[in-house]
Amino acid sequence: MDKNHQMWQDLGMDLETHDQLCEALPAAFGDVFLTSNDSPDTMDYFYAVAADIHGLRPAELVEEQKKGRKIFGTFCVFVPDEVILASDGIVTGLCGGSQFWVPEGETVLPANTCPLIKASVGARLGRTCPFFRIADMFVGETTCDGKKKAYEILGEDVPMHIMHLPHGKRPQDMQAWSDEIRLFMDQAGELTGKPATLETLNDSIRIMNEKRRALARLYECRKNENVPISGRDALLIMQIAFFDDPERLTAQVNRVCDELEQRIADGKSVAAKDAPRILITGTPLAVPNWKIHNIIESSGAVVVCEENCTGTRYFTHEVAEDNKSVEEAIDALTDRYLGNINCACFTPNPGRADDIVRLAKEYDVDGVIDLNLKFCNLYDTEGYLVERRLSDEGIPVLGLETDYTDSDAEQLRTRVEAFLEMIAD
Amino acid sequence: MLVNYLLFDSHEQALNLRSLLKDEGIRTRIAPAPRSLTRCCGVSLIVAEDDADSVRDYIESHPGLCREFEAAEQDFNPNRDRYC
Repeated sequence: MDKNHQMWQDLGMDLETHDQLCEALPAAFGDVFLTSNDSPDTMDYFYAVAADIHGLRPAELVEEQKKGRKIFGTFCVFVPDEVILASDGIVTGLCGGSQFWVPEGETVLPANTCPLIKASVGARLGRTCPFFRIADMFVGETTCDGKKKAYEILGEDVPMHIMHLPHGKRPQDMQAWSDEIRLFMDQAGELTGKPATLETLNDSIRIMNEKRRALARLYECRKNENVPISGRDALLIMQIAFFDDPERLTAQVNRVCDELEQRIADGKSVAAKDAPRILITGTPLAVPNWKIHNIIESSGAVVVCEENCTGTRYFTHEVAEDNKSVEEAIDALTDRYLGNINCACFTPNPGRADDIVRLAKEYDVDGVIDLNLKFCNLYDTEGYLVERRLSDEGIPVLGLETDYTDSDAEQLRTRVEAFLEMIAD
Repeated sequence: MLVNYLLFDSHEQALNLRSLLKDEGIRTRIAPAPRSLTRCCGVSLIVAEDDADSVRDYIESHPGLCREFEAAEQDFNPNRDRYC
């Protein structure tokens, strides 16, 4: 038995079913990433990680566990990685971006639950995701009703900690989130046996800020008139950022950025001169959800920015560094996470539309695609306000709703192509 | 169409050979190894048909750099719309 299968067996995974997922990856990856010849050479690291997405990083996590370290699986950008790192824990993202896991999720969840939630629950219950098998603790958050109830079901199977996210940004909400961070810090320290200190908090804040700076540098490159990297490649980097060791990820992203900045200096672009520049906003695109980027870019446009949780919301705004006390560090985390992430779970949430309009200008986009996962009531409803605001600003916008199946791809292509034709006129 | 794949025991081995071949002026693409060639979801390198003989010569003169060099039927198509 090869090393990966041995590890998956040791983790109690359903090998036979998981092999079906492995079988689908090479063709899907090839269709999306290997049909153009303009990927930066420095994408090699990210392609290698993606090619062995359930082997490489899980093997590292298992080794760290053997040394006594604890793994925290997280579902959302509101969970502050700094708290986990400061307690000597390791953060990992979790599976949730494939239709493969949805049917298993539907055995316990209503069919009209969003595919991200169904896939996450299905990946755990079906024993077909190594990250869901490895994590010592799962950290959920109250960003939507579907997740809140799904966490109760998951909680019967795994150790869960829920962070109660306020749905506003008033002073009392900031205080409540600060209290939640403190509670989580205590919980993380209890699990690892290494409670966070001021020194470890400041160190972890620096590590995460460096990661944010690297990702911001990547996005800065995408603003250029000559687009040096496809949206598909940039999306893959963002998706892997949720799973990788943060310092190694930072180094690898900066390596890509070195090449992209050279491409910019050389006037090299991956897109045709007249290719429409598209900003995607809406719900997150968990790995291996590459559908909309592939449809847009194989239709002649280029995605230059994502205003979503696997895009700008993940890295914009830094946490204040060199804090003088643990309380000050918690305030800094509160300010960055609650104060600056504009999620549709907030009411009101005018900051998100402001962000999209600002980004549309900064990235000089020709149009915005407001992409929402089916049954995501929050983003779907907020879409009315977002799309109206964009129309008022004279920015063309197309609202799309989709899931993880392939069945609507043809219809999506038709709508995307019509939109691209319209904005080209 | 037939696609040439270099197969490995580890991703480090794949990245190493990719770098060595690049020094020889041979470009490769990193890809998931197709299941028809290996049961493991490992990292592989795709070699263009024009470079296949050069790569074969190189790995024969430098043993131990990869596990196997094989071809598999693959047809990548960005408009297929079959995602995983």
